[in-house]
Amino acid sequence: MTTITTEPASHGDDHGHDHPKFLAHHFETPQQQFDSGKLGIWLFLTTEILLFSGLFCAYSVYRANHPEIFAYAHLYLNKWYGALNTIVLIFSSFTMAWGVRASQLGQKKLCVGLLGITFACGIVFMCVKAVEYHDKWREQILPPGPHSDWYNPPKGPEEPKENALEAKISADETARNKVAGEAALAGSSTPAASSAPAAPIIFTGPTTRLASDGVLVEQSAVPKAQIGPTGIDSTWNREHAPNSAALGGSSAEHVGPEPYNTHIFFSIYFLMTGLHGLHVLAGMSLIAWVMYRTHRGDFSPAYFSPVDFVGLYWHIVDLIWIFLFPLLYLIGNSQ
Amino acid sequence: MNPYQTASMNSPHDVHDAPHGVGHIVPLSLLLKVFGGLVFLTVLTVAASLVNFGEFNLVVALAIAVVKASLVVLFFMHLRWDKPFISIIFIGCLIFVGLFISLALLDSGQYRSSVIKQEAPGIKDHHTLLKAPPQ
Repeated sequence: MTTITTEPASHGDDHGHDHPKFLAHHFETPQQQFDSGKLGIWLFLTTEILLFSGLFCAYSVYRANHPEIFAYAHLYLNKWYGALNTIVLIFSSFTMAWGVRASQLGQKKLCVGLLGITFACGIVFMCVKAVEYHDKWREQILPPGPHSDWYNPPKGPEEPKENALEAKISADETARNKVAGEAALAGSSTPAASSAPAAPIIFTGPTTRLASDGVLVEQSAVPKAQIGPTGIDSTWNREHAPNSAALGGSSAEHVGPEPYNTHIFFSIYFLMTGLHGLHVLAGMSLIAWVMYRTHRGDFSPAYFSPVDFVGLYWHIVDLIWIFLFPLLYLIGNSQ
Repeated sequence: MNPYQTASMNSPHDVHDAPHGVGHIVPLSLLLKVFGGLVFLTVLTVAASLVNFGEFNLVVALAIAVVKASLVVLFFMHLRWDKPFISIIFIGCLIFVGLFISLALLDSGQYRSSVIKQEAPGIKDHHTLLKAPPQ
């Protein structure tokens, strides 16, 4: 952001020409000040992109190694909420760009109105996000921790014998190999593919437990497989079946048993959308600030840099979402 | 595009240019067209996700996202009319992001067989290892 001196126009130095109030002392012309500010904000935006690229890197590495987790876990995200938020952000980017144009043309009231619409779009975006997060909260799909028993079902009343555990593990693997093989052969659209994975899974009989909302949930007495850190047991909580209607038809059948380590997908999801949400909040605060300054009459066709630069920040937030939406919500089940 | 034209007082798009204005003013009709294009591409990417292209679903989704991002950067962020140095900074940033992610993918791909059990025939299952007799 450019610094604005509070000095009066004639501040005693021996510049022969008149120095407008908005022009900082160390700049010759408004054009030079504008170009410097532009360079500065773009440098800042590149650091923002690099910040997010760390999360995109985590996403890429994890998805490259475990596509089945992404194909399964993304079904818990509602793609229509994601699409709605995409449209809201694109519309807000449009009103922001129009607002910058209005500011450049000195249309003060139009500019305040457009910035107000942009701000309102930010509120709508965060509300939709809140609904989505609340759905996850209700299903206990949270970042892994002691509070998120969705990933860590409490153990059954009796400790199963070790050979039962082994039978369970090998059965799971048979099922998984079978699913993988059939998917490769038949494109996984035949009804046989959907019935096969359930057959070889052995479990010692269901027990019940009290879910967080007080409903009795049927649960396998077999603990989670001991492969990897923690993971979802493949017979646990089948009634939490993901929203297959979102993909149209019987697509959930293609997914097969829950893969292990699903929580890492949700860690990535919460980190990426959470950091993006923080940026939306920051952008909204900045928009409110330039709205007030526009209303106060600080800007003119010769000086509108804060509006322009806040606009650039808002667009980069939109840009990040343009990639987050297909990568998180639209993975598809064809992996 | 004339990359040296930053003040762009004589740009063909300028109709209302103020006498002391700095920077290029994007015409409203162009902003509307870009907005329409972005909405269309959003609908397209959702529609494409409902079709099973196999491995190409990811490629299609990313290609549409790149087109959308280009529209936003070029027109909403008016990079098209900015000094070329800004483009150099931005593209340089993208090159480093590409290097970062692709090298990380190469590296993790290299070690894939030693960390993913199903793909490492030499590595015994955890529970088999536990039961292995002491050497």
